[in-house]
Amino acid sequence: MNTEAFPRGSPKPNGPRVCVIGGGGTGAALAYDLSLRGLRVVLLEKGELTSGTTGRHHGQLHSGARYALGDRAIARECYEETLILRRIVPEAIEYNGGFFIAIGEEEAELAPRFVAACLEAGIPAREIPAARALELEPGMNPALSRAVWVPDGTFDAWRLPLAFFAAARALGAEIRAWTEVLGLDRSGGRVVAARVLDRSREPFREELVEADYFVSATGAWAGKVGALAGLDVPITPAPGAMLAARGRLVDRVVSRLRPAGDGDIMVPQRGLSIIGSTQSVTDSPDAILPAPGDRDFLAGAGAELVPAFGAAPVHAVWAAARPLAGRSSDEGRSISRDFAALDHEERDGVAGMATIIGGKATVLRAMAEKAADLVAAKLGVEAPCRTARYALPSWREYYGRKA
Amino acid sequence: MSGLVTLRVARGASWALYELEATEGMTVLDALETLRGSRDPDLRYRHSCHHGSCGTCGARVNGKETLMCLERLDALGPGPVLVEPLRKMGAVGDVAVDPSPLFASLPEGSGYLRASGLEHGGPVEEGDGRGYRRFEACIECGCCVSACPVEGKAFSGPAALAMADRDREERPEREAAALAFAARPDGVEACDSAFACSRACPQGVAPGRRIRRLKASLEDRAEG
Repeated sequence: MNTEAFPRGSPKPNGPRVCVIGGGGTGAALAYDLSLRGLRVVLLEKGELTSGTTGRHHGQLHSGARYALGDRAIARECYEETLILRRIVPEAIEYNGGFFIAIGEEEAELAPRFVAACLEAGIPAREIPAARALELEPGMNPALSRAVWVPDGTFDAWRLPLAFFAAARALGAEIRAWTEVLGLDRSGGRVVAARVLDRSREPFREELVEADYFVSATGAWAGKVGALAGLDVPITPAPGAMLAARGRLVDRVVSRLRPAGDGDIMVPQRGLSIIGSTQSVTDSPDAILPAPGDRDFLAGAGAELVPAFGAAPVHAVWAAARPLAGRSSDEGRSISRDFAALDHEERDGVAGMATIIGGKATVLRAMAEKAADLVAAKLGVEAPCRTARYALPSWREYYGRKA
Repeated sequence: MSGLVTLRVARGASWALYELEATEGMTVLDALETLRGSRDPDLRYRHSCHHGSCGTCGARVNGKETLMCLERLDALGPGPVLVEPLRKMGAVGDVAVDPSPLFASLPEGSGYLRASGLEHGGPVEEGDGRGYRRFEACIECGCCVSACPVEGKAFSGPAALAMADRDREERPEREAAALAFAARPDGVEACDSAFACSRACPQGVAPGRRIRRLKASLEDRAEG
């Protein structure tokens, strides 16, 4: 598909009004998608934009290879989305590819099945002789016995979503950071208004935000926000810790050739090398900090992928809450990384509201498309999704050149 | 510093005082997160990546510009920890600023990708043909702008000028635009060469040195 110039100077949307709750990557892409379809958008975020899970992502632009053995459909979608993002927001992506490396016999035996699964999902993975892979990426563990090239990359977890916010605002969307939803009012079986506390200036003000439709794009907070409307939203906040070491040790993303687990991905980004991640489950996604032991575990796991990582100075250790769709009593890896747009009218008999659950950063645009399709159908709007067509404005426009 | 820590956080013309139990490795940002999550939902500060990449959590801690996510409480001296917003930005409240002045100052159209600099035994597969790429070191955090002592005159500032210099280094076709940006009345001439920017930069961008390079190029051009 060709990439067209961003449609500046489009007429201001004058369709029905949609309130998007949540200022992370999904909310950003949704506000943009709805604005392109001619809907009026107000987005509410309780803190600063991307201050929840989105920005804390290690930044892997997933080719989908990591999911190929488990779920071909998710893998295929990841690859389609990486190709779109590389077209529409290239300045926020370090695209250098990636290697899956096998250390030990068990992982080596997995290589043919892994490559076949990637190819079935449309991901152009291919095995590279181990010696050649080490020439191409000399920082990798020389004990690797097999290496598979995949089209992975790194994105800037703040700048990429902010480009979507810049696009949404340029089309007239009202983006309200520092505005927390305290309640969702129902009338006649329908969500009709959000009661909000606006902390963007003093004195703080309580206010009623009315809209024709509400979408909760609140990730790991979706359970809390759903409860404000009396809805039971099945979401499991799953904290994961990551560690960044100083020094760019490789240019490609380096992953372990084994079923997805803890500490098996190294993502280079700027002058850092980031190892992720651990996974646990929790009740509350607020104020997530790393657990004792995460630092040592991650430093050791990183050194298995890239030996120099073990001696590199630690830059930061942090954690974020993934939004896993569904409920789990184990550590959460068994929950799919798929996403869904829950129609609360169909599911709970409460009209006027949907919740996006699950998903992952790489597929933010696809998540928004699915949710916006639902919103458009509910409101009788026929405009199709066009977010894959246009190059996004620079993230710098969001703050620098206000519409 | 471990155990009980006192934080004095700017709140308008006054301060909000907090005491909390610092855990091992806790950063100033972790402390604010803990306070907002458990005690004070009104506390405002910007944050996103928590590992020094996004540039949103720039602040003044004990009077010095820093990224709160990298500033460990145990590396600060004894006594209360003072947390204040960056200078020369728009106001939101508490530690949170509106970074619009910073982003509006940056030269338009500056690229953000550069050559990675690592050695490889072959080219990147299926790339854009420009080789191995990485993001600019500058994370647009505004620490340099806040630390700069230039006041009372129009000045595009250290972040903008450093970016112009980096841009022409990476993309020679941008040389003329970068020098025109530097030659404006609010460009390099307004710099007092205090080098506070270079000391404040958490990313080693050294804006002061970049401004000096721009000055030298402009002088060469004038003499040539």
